[in-house]
Amino acid sequence: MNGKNYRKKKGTILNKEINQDQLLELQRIANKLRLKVIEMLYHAKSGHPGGALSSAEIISALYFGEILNIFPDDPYSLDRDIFVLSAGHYCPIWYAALAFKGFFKEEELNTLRKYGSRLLGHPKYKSLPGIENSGGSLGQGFSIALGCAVAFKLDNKGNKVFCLLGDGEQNEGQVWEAAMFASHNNLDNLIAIIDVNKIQIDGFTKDILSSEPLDDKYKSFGWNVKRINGNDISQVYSAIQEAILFKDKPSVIIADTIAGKGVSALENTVASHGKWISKEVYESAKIDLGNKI
Amino acid sequence: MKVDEKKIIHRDSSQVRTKLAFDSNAKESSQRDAYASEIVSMADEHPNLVLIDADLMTVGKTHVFREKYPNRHIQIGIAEQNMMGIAAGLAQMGKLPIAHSLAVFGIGRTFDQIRESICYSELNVKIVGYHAGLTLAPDGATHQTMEDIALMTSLPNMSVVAPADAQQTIDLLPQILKNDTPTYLRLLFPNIPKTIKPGTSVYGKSQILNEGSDITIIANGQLVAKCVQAAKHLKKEQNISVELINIHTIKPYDFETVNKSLQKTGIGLVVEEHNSYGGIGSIVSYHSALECPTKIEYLNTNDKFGTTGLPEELLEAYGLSESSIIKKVEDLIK
Repeated sequence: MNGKNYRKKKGTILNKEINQDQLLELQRIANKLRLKVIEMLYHAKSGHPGGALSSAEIISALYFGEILNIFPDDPYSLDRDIFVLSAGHYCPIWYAALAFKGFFKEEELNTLRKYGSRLLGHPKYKSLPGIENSGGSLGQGFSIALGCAVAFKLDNKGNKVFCLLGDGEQNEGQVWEAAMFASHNNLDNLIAIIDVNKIQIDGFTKDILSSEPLDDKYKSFGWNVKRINGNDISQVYSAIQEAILFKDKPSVIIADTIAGKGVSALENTVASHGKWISKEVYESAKIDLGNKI
Repeated sequence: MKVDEKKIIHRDSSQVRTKLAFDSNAKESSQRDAYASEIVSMADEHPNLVLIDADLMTVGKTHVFREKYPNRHIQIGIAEQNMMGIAAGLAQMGKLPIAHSLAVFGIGRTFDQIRESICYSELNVKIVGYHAGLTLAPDGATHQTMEDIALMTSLPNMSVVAPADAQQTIDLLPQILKNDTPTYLRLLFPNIPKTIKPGTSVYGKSQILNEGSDITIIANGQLVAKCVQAAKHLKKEQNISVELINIHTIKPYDFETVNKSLQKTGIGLVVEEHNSYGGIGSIVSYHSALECPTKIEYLNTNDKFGTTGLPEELLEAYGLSESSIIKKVEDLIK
């Protein structure tokens, strides 16, 4: 990618055509991100694999499917699209994607969570090139994304703002303040993606505080809603393309995913939210993902 | 892409139209009205300025700005947490957002959002809290706040400014906007007697309003005006010479000016419309204890919630009236 010149015109590219080979490549990158996340968390000796692994197809499509118009050489260009990670604890996969994309060197990834590292345990705005928000206290990124979307509207710019949230995060009241504001103000340049991996710290979301039916909730809040299998790269890619084209309402993609996806030791477990990656799990992940990258 | 600006910015229509113009010769003025009129005149100098309200623009009178600059005002609705996040997002995109609310809601309810989305991200968001302190009209304790200075000074990167009167609000506002740190501007409800001379307020610099030798009184907000009267009375009736310092900029705190005075007089009295914990009393004491340990007494709301009543009634009841200040000084100097 050659920074600013890699897109002919400003704003998000509407690339409706994607072939099977390109989808397979995006899937391969998703799995490559997964294995990198496991490696980072193994070295960090703490962190959150569950959501980072469940959201890999979403991150892959956004960053490597030519959806986000971003510039590694000029990371805070006002011509860029914005990706806000409201579920801040997913950050290992964000860091990995930014490094793969060339925002900083991949060697730095294994400093995650170490004293003095720029790869903080939860993201801080501008702590690394390409980081668009501070996140950790849930719900806050959603409002930040709204602020970015409003700024683009005020300046009459067509850039898009994407925001990734978790399903446990839907417990926060601020999420619904933001949901109300976005539809009231027709923020159709905003695309929220909810990674519904069905776990939160204390258990399955259905047992702790269920936010379902999320599709009905967002519909009643005035959003354009699409529910998909968020671990199916083809569905993720086309849902995002549809949302980009949708006018007059903000769009939300409710992506059903599997917590810890791709690593059999972690899949569908509550513990994957914040599990330490042991040598055994790291080795098993290499076997699980090794032939898929 | 088609942008419908009307929808994002100007959907509601019911607005109270009020003409606001600050009169520097008036005997007393409202800080809120002075702010609301002055901010309109700053819009051209700061083309990235965007005002944000949470269903209180007709209380804060920022609807006057909205009428003149409809594309630069955003109505959030009753959702202060969302307001602070939107302010952060706007600041990230190069805007200069000012978020407004009653101080109790704008500061208390949103502490986590101000902390993480604004201060941790080092974003230039200004927050105006009006009706701070004890002396809101008789709405009572739910609408008062004597905790806001403690909350905001505790946040790294945050600056805190509490002007003494309307003139000082106007004089400090351009300096606050030129500064690129997040800032909390604390405004009060009552009309305040004209106290500060135009052009004498310097951001970050405590202000000696009255030179004296027997005691240092340190105050901010409308209580500065009470202290001015108390100092006059004490000089005339008892020949007690008061050095009066107005700490309008609480953070960054100008400890040199205060400590120098405390060293001179050897005794201090801090007067504030805030709780004893975490107000300017705490700040003055912390910095003097380090450099010049001095006996300091305090008049504040003393770890009590407020109640319903008129501003002057409440100041009397909580020991913050002119006569309470006079009595405290007499007891100390005896």
